[in-house]
Amino acid sequence: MKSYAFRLKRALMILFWIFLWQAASSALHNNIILVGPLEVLQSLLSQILTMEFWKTIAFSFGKISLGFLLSFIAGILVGGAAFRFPLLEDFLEPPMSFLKSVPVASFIILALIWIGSKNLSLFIAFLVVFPMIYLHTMAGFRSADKKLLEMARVFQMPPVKKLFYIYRPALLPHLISGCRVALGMSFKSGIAAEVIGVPDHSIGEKLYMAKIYLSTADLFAWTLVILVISAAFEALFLWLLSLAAPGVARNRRKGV
Amino acid sequence: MELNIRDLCLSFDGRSVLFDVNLSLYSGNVYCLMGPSGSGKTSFLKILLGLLKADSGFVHIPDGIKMSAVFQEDRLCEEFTPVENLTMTVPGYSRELRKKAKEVLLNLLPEEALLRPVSNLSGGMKRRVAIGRALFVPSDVILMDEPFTGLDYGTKEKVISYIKTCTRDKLVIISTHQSEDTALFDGTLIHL
Repeated sequence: MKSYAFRLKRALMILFWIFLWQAASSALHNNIILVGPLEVLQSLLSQILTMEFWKTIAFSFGKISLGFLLSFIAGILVGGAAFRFPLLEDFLEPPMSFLKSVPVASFIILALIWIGSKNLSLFIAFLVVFPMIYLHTMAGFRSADKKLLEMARVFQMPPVKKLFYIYRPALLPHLISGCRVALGMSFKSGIAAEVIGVPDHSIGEKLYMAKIYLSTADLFAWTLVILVISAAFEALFLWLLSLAAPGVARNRRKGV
Repeated sequence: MELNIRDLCLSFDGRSVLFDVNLSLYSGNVYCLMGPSGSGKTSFLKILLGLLKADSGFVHIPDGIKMSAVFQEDRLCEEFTPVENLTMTVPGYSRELRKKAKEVLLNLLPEEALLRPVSNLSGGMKRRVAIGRALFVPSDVILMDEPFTGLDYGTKEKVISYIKTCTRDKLVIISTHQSEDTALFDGTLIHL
C-alpha cells in the first residue's frame, strides 16, 4: 500500500506541472499553439454529455481492446506451439522479425488498402501486440524450472497438470511484463491507425478533425480520453491476469 | 521384480565416477548406497531414473515398472501447498485424491503445515513433503537421494518408520552418508 505522504507528493507534482502548463498557455496567449488545462476541461465537459462522445469511445475502445485480446490469445497459443515444436519457431522467425522492425505507419497504410478503415484499429492493435505476446510466451515457457520438469518426467506427471503447476508460474511474470508494454502500444498504434484511416465515430476521426479545424483544445481533450481509457484497461487487464497467479485463489478464499 | 545393473561405467571430464557396477536388486528390499561425496551415488540414481546416460553397461528395468523419487534437491512447486504438490503428480482432481494425499502427509508433517504454500515451510518440512510425494505416487521402485537432510534424529526415526510401512513390497534404494540409516531400515548396504 502506498503511503499517504507518497500520494500527496505525487499529487503535488502533478499539480505543479498543470500549473506550469496553465502559466505557459496564459503567457503565450495563443490557443492554437498551446491551449491551457482549463480550456481542455471545458472542451471535455462540453462533449461528455453528448451521445456521440460515448459512441466514439465505445467504437475505438471496442476495436482496440478486441484487437489486443485476440492477439493475446493468439500470441499465447502460437508461442506455446512454437515452444513445443521448434520447427514452427524457425518457421515463424522471419515474419516475427518483420513485424517487430517494420514501422507501424507502413502497416497502417497497407492494411487500409486491404481491409478499409472500419476494422483498421483492431487489425493494427492485433499486429503490434502479437509479436510481443508471442516472444514473452516463449521466454516464459523457456524459463520453467528444468529440475521441476525432470521431476515431472520421472513421476509421469499428466501434461495438463504440468502446464498448470510448472509452466503457468513460469509464464505469468513474463506475460505480465509483456502485457504492460503491449497494452500501451495497442492504444497508441490503434489510435494512430484511426487518425490515418479516419473511420466514422472513432477517436482517430476526432483527432483528425481537431487537426483540420486547428482545435488544440479538442486535441488535448481526446488525448486525455485516450490516456484514461488506456490506463483503465491496462489496470483492469493486469488485475485479471494477476488472478491467474498461483495461490491467489487460495488467498482470496482465506481473505488474505 | 528384479532390477539388473550390468557393467555400468560413468565418468565426468575423464574422472571415473562409476566403474563396472554390477548389481541385482529385488522388490521387498531396502538398499542403502553408501560412499563419500563424489562417489557417484546421485549419478547412479539418475541413471536408474533415466535422467543420465551411462558411458557403458546397461540397466534392465522390466516393462511397466513405475518409479518415484526423492531428489537430492526438494524439487517442489514452491507456490503450492504440500497437498497440491502430491496431487499434481497423478491424474485426476478428485476429493478422494486430496484426502489420500492429506493422509500421507499427516504421517510426516503437522496438520497446520498442509495448507501453507511450500515456500513458507522450513527446510526439514520441505524434505518431508518430497518424501511424502515419493510415497504417494503409485510405484514399484522408490529412489531416495539423501532424503533425511535437514531432519533431526527423532524426526528421521519417525519418517523411516513410516517409509517402511509404505514400502514393504517395493524396491527402495536410498543414498546416504550415515551408516546408521542402513540399520534403521534393516536394509542391505551397498558401497559405491
